[in-house]
Amino acid sequence: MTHQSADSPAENHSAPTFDTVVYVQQSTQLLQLSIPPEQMAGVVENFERVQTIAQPVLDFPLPDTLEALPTFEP
Amino acid sequence: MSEASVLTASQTATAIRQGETTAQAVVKTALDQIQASNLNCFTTVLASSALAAAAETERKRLAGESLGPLAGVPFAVKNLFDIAGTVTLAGSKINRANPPATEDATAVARLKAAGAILVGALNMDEYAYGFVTVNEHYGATPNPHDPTRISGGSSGGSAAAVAAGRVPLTLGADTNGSIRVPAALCGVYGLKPTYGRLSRAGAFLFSSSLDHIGPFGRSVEDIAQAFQVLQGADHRDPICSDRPGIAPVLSGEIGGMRIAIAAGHFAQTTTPTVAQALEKVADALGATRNVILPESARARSAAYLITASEGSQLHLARLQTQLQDFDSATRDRFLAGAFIPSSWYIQAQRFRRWYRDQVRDLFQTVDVILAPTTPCPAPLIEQTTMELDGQTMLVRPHLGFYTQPLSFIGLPVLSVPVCFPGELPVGVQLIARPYDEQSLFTAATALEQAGVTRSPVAAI
Repeated sequence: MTHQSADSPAENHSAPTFDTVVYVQQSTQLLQLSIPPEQMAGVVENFERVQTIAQPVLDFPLPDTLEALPTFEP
Repeated sequence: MSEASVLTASQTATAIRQGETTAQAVVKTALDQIQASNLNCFTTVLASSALAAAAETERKRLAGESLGPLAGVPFAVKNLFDIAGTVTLAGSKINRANPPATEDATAVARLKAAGAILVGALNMDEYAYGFVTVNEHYGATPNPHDPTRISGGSSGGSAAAVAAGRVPLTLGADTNGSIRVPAALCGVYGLKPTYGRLSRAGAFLFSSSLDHIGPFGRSVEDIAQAFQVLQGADHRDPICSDRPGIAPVLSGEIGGMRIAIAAGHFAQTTTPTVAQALEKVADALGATRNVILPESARARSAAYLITASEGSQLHLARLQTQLQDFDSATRDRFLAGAFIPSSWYIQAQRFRRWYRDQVRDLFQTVDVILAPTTPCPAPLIEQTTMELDGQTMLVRPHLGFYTQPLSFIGLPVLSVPVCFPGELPVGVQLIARPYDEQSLFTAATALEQAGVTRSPVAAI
């Protein structure tokens, strides 16, 4: 879990840190979900795990010409 | 346990065809054993329809009518397959409110058409999201070889029912390893065919881009026989191939076959038992060369992104309205998956093609690749972490460490069982190029003939 700290001088000059809690809370509203407060920590923890898993896939350069394979054949 | 229950499917069909026993006797024995102790494999038992089908098989035999290749063989299916007249649970509490299925899943119908007799539906992780078959609604399915341990998942009931000799043949589904992982931990054969090879119509899907179905059994012959009758085009499944089916040959003649061992990602973090099993299989097949499937760790990550995105989208309406009816083991993961940005998902799908192309090239130089199925034998039911190579790892996600990169690109894989005396069984994956299930059957037959792989019924 990452939190912004407004009173940290070191962070005043760096890019804003992504706040997973805020993202999950906002996404919960966007998707019209209703997550009880006591279950929120588990969801945030799981989304942080997804972020970690996603990073190497996102870091991998792919050429513009490489398209995903459609499996639907009309 | 009577002799009939430990016969393989093919042996059972032969005994019935030759009049050594009857379908009724075989089915009644299976039902009696399930009733006496179903090991929490079964969530539904279909006694009356099974007995009626057995009586019809016997009538046909006495009348001299043709019998299918699996005539009289009892089988059961993971409870995500539609069974006409039964509610398809898919391991959930939520689906109990659904109406009963109006027709059998294609795979169920094809096994029945071959003469096999459906005796029930089997336990699984909720909506197939797990590698353990520890289900809050229906309980854990213990491992028949050691009931303090998991059977693996998500098709745990399917593997355990075969390992315990309750039925000789079952069906499961595999998105990231859900056939191969429980097959390995329960010491049975489990086939995940090429993506699109077998129809999934009437199976409650999890992640359509990656979902496969396939059989479990205790012999290569049974797996090949089931595969043969399950093949065929099906307009009800949009990704089902219309390629002609194959008639598997079980010669075991591996001369000329290029067999290699997967290195890199697939050569990490195993227990000594798993390493010994791989070595034994490699020795028997004369495999000494190593090959690398490039970027397999990234492939595993991409498989996770696709699974989580598609699974969460499939269940979004239920997450919105029935959140507290989900198993807590799947709930938070489904929620987190719903928040994955579309660009991450699409990147994973594009990477899937890149990885597929690399592995296709690799198969220019090799016919069968060997890899462990799981990093370890069956963990304890309550176990959350495991020690591998001095590192502490979470049990549940890591059981798919070696299976996820392969289903990601739809390769056909057969997990074969290796059982050392006094130890829990483990599995080795035989991996072939797309649509080359025949090479899997050839290599597996060679291993079976050499006594390297075997699938003993658990003494339970």
